Amino acid sequence: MEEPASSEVAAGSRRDFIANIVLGTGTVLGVGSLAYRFLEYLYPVIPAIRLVEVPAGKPEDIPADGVRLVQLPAGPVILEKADNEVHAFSAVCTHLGCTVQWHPEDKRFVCPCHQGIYDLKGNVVSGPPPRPLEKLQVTLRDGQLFVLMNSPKGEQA
Amino acid sequence: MKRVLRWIAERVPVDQELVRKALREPLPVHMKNWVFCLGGTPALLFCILAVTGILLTFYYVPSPSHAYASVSNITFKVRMGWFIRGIHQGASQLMIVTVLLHMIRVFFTRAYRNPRELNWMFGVALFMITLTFAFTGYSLVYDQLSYWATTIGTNMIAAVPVIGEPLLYLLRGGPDVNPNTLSRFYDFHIGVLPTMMTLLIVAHVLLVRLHGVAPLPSDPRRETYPFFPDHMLREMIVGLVILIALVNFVMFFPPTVGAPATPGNTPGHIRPEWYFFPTYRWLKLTSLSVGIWGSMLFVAGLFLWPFIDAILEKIAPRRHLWVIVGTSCFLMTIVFMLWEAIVG
Amino acid sequence: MSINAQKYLVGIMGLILVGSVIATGYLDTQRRKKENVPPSAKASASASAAPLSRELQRGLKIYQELSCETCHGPGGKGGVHNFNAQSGQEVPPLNKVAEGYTKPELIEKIKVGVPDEPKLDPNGPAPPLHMPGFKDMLTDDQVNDLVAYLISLKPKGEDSGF
Repeated sequence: MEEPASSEVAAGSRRDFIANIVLGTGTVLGVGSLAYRFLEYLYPVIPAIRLVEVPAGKPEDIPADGVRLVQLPAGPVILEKADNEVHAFSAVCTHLGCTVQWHPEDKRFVCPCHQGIYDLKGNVVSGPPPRPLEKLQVTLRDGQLFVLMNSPKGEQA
Repeated sequence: MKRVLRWIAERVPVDQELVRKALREPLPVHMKNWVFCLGGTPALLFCILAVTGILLTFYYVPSPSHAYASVSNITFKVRMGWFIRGIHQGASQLMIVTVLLHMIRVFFTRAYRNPRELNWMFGVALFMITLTFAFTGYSLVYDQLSYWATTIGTNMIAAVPVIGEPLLYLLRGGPDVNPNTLSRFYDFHIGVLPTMMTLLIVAHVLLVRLHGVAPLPSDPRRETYPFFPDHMLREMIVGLVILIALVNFVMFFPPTVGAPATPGNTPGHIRPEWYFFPTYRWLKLTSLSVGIWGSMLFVAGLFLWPFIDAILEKIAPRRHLWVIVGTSCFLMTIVFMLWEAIVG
Repeated sequence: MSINAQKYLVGIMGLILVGSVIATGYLDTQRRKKENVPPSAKASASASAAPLSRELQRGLKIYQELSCETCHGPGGKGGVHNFNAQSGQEVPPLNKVAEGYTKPELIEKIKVGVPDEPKLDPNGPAPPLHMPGFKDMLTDDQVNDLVAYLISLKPKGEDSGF
């Protein structure tokens, strides 16, 4: 049997090689682009954060020792009466997000998760929290308190 | 590339000769006709449905108060949500069509004959599972059409003698459609049915490989061609055609949602999906029990066809009765479907 | 068709697929910008095109400003989690209250609230959210407007959207 010329063999295998490259590239790119869209789909659409004024009861509802912890729809809030003024703080611990508790005996806010302790002004007394409690703007209208907060972020899209 | 393969071969100790033999499996040349790719197509579509289905579960909430809102969310707010949902819907419709075409191909090439009768029955079971998938899937959208189609469809099951009513309670999780019903349909759709389908697909393909491809009576050629790379390339071409078609179809016909389900209020014009038109038309023509019995007999006939065919062969050899039976059933189905689609 | 020709075909089709998939991205930005909701699916008045009466407009304003929307959802659609609450562990939707409550019952509910949200599991924790009482925050006229708005949220009879 005649041996094919070595140049023909080389050309043949080069043709095969190019065909393989085209096959591989086309398939990988095609399936890859689909996979990319699928991953895009999984990445959530973050809704714009809105500031909302949330009603928070009346000043008279804050007890004599000066602190009331309320569960507002937009999050837990600490309401405090000091020198005839009402202050509001977010009750979300700045460490890892648990809700702090009020300990009237020590006049401290304590976070049950990692024992972060805050004073009446929201400053960190001890424990892991990196920042003081977030101060929130409070307004009084027609005898009703309103706290300015970010809308809840858990909404769908 | 060769080094990679050797690395794998060392760690997955399969006999290399066996692998090479399986890959180079000779297929009869009649398989080069594109009509014979209709078997692999539903399998590919099932994979597409599984992937897009899993993606949909990331945003879908299966509770009656949230289902509709979550589907709306996917369709209109989630990034590429319309795309994933559209592919899922498109692929499901295409799967029903291709399974039917594959069944018709197998029927008219008589590939179901001894010793392949069991495989035919597995195939019919796969077809029934595909339809059940479509039915349960649609009910999850929880718009008016979903809700009422589910109510009517499950009510029909109650008409089956003896086992009908207990079966209905089992499907609904109670006597009436209630929050349990949606949970159950969801679980069937994402748990029970995929498991059954995967197992049956494996069994079905295994049997084909073990028996070898059925000989085609009308084609006496004896030549063969190898599975790898020849047939695999053909399958890849078909697969890519399907993907390109689906992607473009969804772009031109994106999915929508109907009005949300209102339990007390059946809309004026209510119909099941197109693939149930033949049954729907048949049921409208007959009384409920005749309709149900007729449908059950048809399905039983479908299952047992290889044996019925064998009996027919004995009674009237060379009369090609199977062509008459097949063609008339096929025509009747098309007539009923068009009748319902056009006249309604 | 030769093997190599088939390989080229697959490669080219792969690239066509890439092109189609890239096009889907443009369609996506277009669709999501339009904030499309088909008219037949808009069952609530909160974003509908039909103009609301004065009374309903006032009711809607109260609904949004007093943060009813934050818990009960836009248009009263619900969907906010409330762990261990008997109402399906969620804040109940309000768009069907016209069917389940009389006007006086609604007025009472809004004024008094539900101070102790019933627990799904009695041994579990108290649900974090409860319905506040608004009697000190709304006048009687305002409560009436709000109730009128809530009643208007009931979806009217619609077709199957087929």
